[in-house]
Amino acid sequence: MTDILFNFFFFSCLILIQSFFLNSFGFYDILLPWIFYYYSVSEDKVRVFLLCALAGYLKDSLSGGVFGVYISTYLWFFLVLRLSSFFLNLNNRVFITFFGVLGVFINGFFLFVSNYKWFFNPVFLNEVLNLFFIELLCCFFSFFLFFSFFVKIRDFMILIQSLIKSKFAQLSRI
Amino acid sequence: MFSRKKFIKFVVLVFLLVNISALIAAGRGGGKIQGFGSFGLDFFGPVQEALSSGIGYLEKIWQSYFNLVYVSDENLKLKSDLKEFYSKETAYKEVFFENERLRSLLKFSKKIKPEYIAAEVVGRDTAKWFNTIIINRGKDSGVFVNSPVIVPEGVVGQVIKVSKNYSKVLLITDRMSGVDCLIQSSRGRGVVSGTGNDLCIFKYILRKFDVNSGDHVITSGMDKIFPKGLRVGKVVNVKRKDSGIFQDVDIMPFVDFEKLEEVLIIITPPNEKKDD
Repeated sequence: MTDILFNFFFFSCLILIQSFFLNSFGFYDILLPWIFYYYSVSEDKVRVFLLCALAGYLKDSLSGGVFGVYISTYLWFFLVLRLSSFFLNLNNRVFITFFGVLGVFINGFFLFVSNYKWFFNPVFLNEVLNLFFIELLCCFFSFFLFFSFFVKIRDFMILIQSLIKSKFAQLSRI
Repeated sequence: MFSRKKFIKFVVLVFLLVNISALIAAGRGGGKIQGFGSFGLDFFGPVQEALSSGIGYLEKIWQSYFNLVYVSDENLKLKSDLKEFYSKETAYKEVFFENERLRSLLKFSKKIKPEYIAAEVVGRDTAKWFNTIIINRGKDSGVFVNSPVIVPEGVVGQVIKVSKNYSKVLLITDRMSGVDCLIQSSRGRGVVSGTGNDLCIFKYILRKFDVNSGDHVITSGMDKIFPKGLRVGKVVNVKRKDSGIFQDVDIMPFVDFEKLEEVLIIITPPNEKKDD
């Protein structure tokens, strides 16, 4: 239960950070690394699936786009991770970068599908493609260059989570 | 008949096709599916409100410190502006009363004054793909889908989703936005559409209308959403091609969407807005 609450709080904070500070820079969706992190640390994949769906729902309700884009993105990203984890090492720098970029591609795919009218206007198309490439570049560099930083953050998160768990256990004993 | 692998591939493909079809269908309807996202708005709304008021407070402290330097210069400029506006106001009042008298002579129906409520901007879109804001007024305050949102400088956008206490507003700079407008001087009519960045484009304006840089663009009232005569923006660029019946006009909105903090929502339902 603490695991669910912790991750719920964590991704809610990420959504708020994105809506307050990162939306004007065209930064990629920072919930994709969260899904990656949660997938790699959690053993109960059904729980990950459900939390991804909830994160997508909340993100969709705040976004101005078509409802369902983020739910689709996160669930398909989860599915790709699930299928790939059988034969790929998810702790490798190259593969992690590849999955980050793949997540941005999945997000872009669903955005373009739901807003297919953008393709009929050359001005819009040019702008959205530029925006998409900026997201891809941000994602690639942040995943590839800050891999060790991400690993440290992940270890730190695991530590915090275990601390919260132990505190809850102590409280329940009392 | 099917191996397990083939069956999984088949199921995944079916799900993908269903997913894509659902998104295309939702996109065709303008993405305005009501009810689904209202819980999320109510959930994040209070947190966003608390955060934005905290950030706003810190910004105000910072700005008020720096503004002190410019206050005396600004005061002189405002005083001179005020003198000019006093004389303009007198002229406008004369025209207003003359207009009222002529309308009553011609037995035009009386214009209903729209009702406004003020709201604070508590959040913005989570991605740069869309230009929306979240405001702290919802159904309980009388806000409905398509309510026009304005500020004294001009039109901000329209409400696209309403929850109990919060609403999502589509800005006029969004690619999905369209507002029926007029060029104030030449009365040429068209649709102002967003481009996703600071500028908007004025579409479907015929070549026969004389449009120049600096011309003001106002709402026409023909879309039955925005009342007639609201300020939208200023023409910054006009391109007349050799062929075609329309001209390309770029517009700079009067509203600075980056600095938007408070807005006004018109809560008079469309069926109560009487036209001349």
